[in-house]
Amino acid sequence: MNAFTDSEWLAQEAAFAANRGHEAQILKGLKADAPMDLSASFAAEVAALALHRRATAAPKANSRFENWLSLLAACLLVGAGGAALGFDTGLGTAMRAALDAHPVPDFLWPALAALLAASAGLPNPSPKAPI
Amino acid sequence: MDQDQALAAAVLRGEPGAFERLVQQHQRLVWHIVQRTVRHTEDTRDLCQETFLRVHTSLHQYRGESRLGTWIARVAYSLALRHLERRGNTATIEPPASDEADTPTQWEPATPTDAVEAQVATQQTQRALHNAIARLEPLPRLLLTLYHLEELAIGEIAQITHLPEGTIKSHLFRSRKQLRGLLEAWQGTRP
Repeated sequence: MNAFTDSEWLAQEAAFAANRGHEAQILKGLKADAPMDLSASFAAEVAALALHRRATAAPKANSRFENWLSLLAACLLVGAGGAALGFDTGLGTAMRAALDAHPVPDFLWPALAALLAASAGLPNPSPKAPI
Repeated sequence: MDQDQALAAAVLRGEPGAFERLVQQHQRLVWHIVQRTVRHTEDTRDLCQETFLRVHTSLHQYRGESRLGTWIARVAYSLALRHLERRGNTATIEPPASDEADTPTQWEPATPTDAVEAQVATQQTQRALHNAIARLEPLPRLLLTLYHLEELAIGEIAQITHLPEGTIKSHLFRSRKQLRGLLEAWQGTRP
């Protein structure tokens, strides 16, 4: 609930609009209170910083396909790593079975390796690969 | 409104100098909002910068439904409030220029001449007023600034602060009355 009536509000508004006496002093006091203290070059500095931030912004989040590839690469790495250490994680066995059933043509191996490396964030193991 | 949208579009297109122009046009308003809220000069500078960086990254969300200044002011106000919350609502209040004139009884004319006496009295009054403004709560202080210095309409202030218009009027009425009462009391007890 308002602590004043409409007429009180209007009277106060009129007093400030007239800008005389105490009201004038209050307005003057407000103007003098903490004036803007930004440097003359503030706008240019902020603009430069904003452009810099945009230029160096983190790359966009991976697409769903890239996420899927990363997951696949991780699974294959776990499977291969497990097999190399003598553990049968199941993934290695499944991979070998899949490759036995559907052999990958030799010319596709570099591309596949590059794809898996890229999705796992590793350098391309075969620079000549198309990816 | 058209000019605002044109400026926003220029910034989004990456037009050279457009964002700098936007900052120049609104930096005073942003300063007033943040400074009146957090009351700390260094923090205010940082928050002003943060406000404009935030504006730069989210300007595509500006739909032109309000003035660009109002939209930017909302960003500034919410950042300033969050800053206060992080500090546990205990804004570091910088001391006013001088506390010595705070109480009327401490006032004494510096020289016997009338002109100088009057000047000193004015300075003392302004200092007392400054102290009184500094001691207002952040919200009424901000509302007084937006209404009287930035000359924003009550409706625009309501958009920035998310307060009902009646509440804003109430704050304005009370704080103006408080400041007027202080001046009356102060000048009434002057020698």
